[in-house]
Amino acid sequence: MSVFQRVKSTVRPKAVRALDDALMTHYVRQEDVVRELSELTRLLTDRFDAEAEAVAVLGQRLAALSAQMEQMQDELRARS
Amino acid sequence: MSAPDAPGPVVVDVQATQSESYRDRGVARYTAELAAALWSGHRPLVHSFVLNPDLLPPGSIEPLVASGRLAYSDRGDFSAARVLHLMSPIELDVPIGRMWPAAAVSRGLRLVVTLYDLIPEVFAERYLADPGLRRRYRTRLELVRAADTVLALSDATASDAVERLHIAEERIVVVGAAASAGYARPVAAADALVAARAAVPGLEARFVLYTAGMDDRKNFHALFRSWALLPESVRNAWQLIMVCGMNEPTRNHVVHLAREAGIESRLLLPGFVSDAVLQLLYQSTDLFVFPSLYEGYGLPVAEALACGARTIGSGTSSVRELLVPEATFDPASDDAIAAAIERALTDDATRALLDQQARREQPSWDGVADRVAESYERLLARPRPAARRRPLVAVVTPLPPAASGVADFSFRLLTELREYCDLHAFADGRRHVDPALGLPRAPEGVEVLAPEFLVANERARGGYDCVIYCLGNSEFHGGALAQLRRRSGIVLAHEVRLTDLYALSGDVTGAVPGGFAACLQSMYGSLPLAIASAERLASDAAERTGVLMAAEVVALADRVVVMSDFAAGRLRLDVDVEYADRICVLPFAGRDVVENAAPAAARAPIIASFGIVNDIKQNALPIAALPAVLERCPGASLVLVGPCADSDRQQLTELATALGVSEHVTFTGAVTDAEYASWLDRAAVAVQLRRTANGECSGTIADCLAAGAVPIVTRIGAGRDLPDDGVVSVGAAVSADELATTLADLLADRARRGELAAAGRRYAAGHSHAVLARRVFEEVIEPAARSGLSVPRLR
Repeated sequence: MSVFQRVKSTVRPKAVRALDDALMTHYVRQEDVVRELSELTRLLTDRFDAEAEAVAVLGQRLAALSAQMEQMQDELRARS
Repeated sequence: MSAPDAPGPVVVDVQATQSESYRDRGVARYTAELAAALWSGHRPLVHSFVLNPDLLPPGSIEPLVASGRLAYSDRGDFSAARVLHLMSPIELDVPIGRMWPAAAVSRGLRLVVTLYDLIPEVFAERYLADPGLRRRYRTRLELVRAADTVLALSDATASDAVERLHIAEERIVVVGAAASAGYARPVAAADALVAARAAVPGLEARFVLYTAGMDDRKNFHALFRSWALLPESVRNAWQLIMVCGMNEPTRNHVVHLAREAGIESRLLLPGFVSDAVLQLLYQSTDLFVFPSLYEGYGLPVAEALACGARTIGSGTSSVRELLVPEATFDPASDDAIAAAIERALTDDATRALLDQQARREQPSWDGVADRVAESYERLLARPRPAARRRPLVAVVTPLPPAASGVADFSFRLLTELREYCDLHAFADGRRHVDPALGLPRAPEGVEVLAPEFLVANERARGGYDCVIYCLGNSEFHGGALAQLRRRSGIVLAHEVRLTDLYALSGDVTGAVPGGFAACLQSMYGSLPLAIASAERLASDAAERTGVLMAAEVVALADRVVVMSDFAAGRLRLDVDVEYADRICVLPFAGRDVVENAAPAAARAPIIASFGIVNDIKQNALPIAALPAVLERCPGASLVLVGPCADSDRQQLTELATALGVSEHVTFTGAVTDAEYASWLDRAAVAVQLRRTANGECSGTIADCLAAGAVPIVTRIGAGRDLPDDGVVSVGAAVSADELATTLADLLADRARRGELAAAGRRYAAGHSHAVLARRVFEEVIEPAARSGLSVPRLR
């Protein structure tokens, strides 16, 4: 084993450990990320569904108003 | 019992009985009981009891099955209906389109909703902490606000509706609820006690009953604390029994709470009990106590009273409406609860009063039904609300300038359909149209949108009465295929072989899930591996193996309209037998008859072939026939009108040169509409010699008939439907010699050409887009717009 390799084999684990220690507080477990993502997806899906339902209710009420307006126009036409 | 002949005006939605989450709970029971009472006492008012087509029918609706008026909301005739009563408007698992169908508004139905409570809104921090849930719940409250009449179960709920939803008082009717028929006074309380003790191990002879869920709102913690405050003599004399379904961890928690309160030894937790056992417990208890902080009605109290139980409960929300004032207490005060329990168990005067309370006439389902029926009658006495004047129809189709025959066809069809309905066009296949050619064009007054917005637009516009998907075997129909998977509708199939549609639509989101091979495999399980794993099937291979790939489209569609008997027959062979009657035939439409067309008999001897030049059209045949034709008719010429690939042109030119007729053959390439019309007006004879067919009708043959150019056609596929007196038929394997004879005879016989052209023009007049539009409206759109209340279930 060359001197370089010996130095490398000694230094490398220390460097890795130092890096690990430095980053440890920022590590997140993959399963936590997946759980959070899944919750976020559920919230967004719920939100989109809810908005779609809100649009549907509004659409129904607008349709009812449109029909009412058409009826009034017909009545006005009939009177004039 | 047989159903009366004429349906009444009220559609009663009973889908709460189907709900996975509510099936065994109060709302489902309420729905089933009220529906049965309405049928029993007010059947002339009932149009139907409707179920959600996406869910299975439950056993609890057996009495309604016998009524003969039970139906799924997506089928049947609702034209006589004038009121829709939603019994469970706030059921968040069910899409709003199933709850409040767009057709209910567009057809001018009044809306009635039953409001059980506003508990989530009152305790929003507890029940609506989740933002998505909160938004969904509050959207449903908008549905309640939109109702013409709100049927509340109690004065408390009615007050909440006024205060929290700002609904006008005059739109709210308190109709109440009642206990089921099985909840009644015992013949002998002593016998009930014996039976109850046999059914509930550990039950003592003297006990106080409490029934509730594990919800904090039910306030069982306070009951435990209050029980601990009772004199020891009372606690020792009576056992507290808490009836509630609970799993083992929950049970452990309840036992822990009871231990903390020091009442563990006097508490019995039998878990869930059947209705029959619950009735025995009500009938044999010394006291029923209900300390709930908030209720929409308080069904356990009504059940206890119906069974003759001495009953005390909260002096708040709806519970106090069911009890005499002396039987109520402040549920927020442990001392008040303890004092009320002690009085009810030990004070003779109080016991007598509670007995008297239980002897009062109790609410009945007949009474509830009477009040509901009265509210129906009041609504029916009002003028009918405005309904949509004309059906609103969505058509998903390619539109000009897309280089597709279907695009031009649809433009003309939409033009004529405007007379009957309001239209939204969803321009399909736009990614295959050169942007330089401009935006998709629809007839004036027809909005143009993108297919991917079909469902969203339908919501915003209050629903379509009918959706038509125009399909053909090309890349211009991927959007229609994708949307058909999301929203059911009518398919107008220009072709019945759809192999290229599937092969070329992979880039349209949702059109071909899993890819071409997966779709092919799902439709035809037993194909040879080389075909089953292909990413596209050449037309010859599809023809040879009999693959159409139309079965899935037929299964997804409510109806499939084709334009020839051949296409219908071929399609029926590709689908399962139960889908075969979805397929119907309407006549193909061509261009309007050309006024002032050149008389056929007077035309120069021009032979033309119209449409894309390719091998399937057998364009080499008329070239091969031309030398023999020229011998008898030296002035004859052949024009190939339509786009032609360079390789095809070179091949055909070489053939003409070899035969020495190249100066008599013209290739126009792609032409403008005006040039196309000009050639139609000049051609004496048109040769349209398709070798194979995908079930399509030839637009070019229809153009020839309308313009007076006599077509010579191969009688294959839809060609069989062409008029015998308007076209000249040859076999699909016609030889050049035979064709030459036919052509020369026809060119030489001006009188016959005149007769054929006249018959062809008569046929064209009867097969215009105006005629087709009327039939599409009468036979497709109107029935779809009348049928069902909600959008048909996706299969």
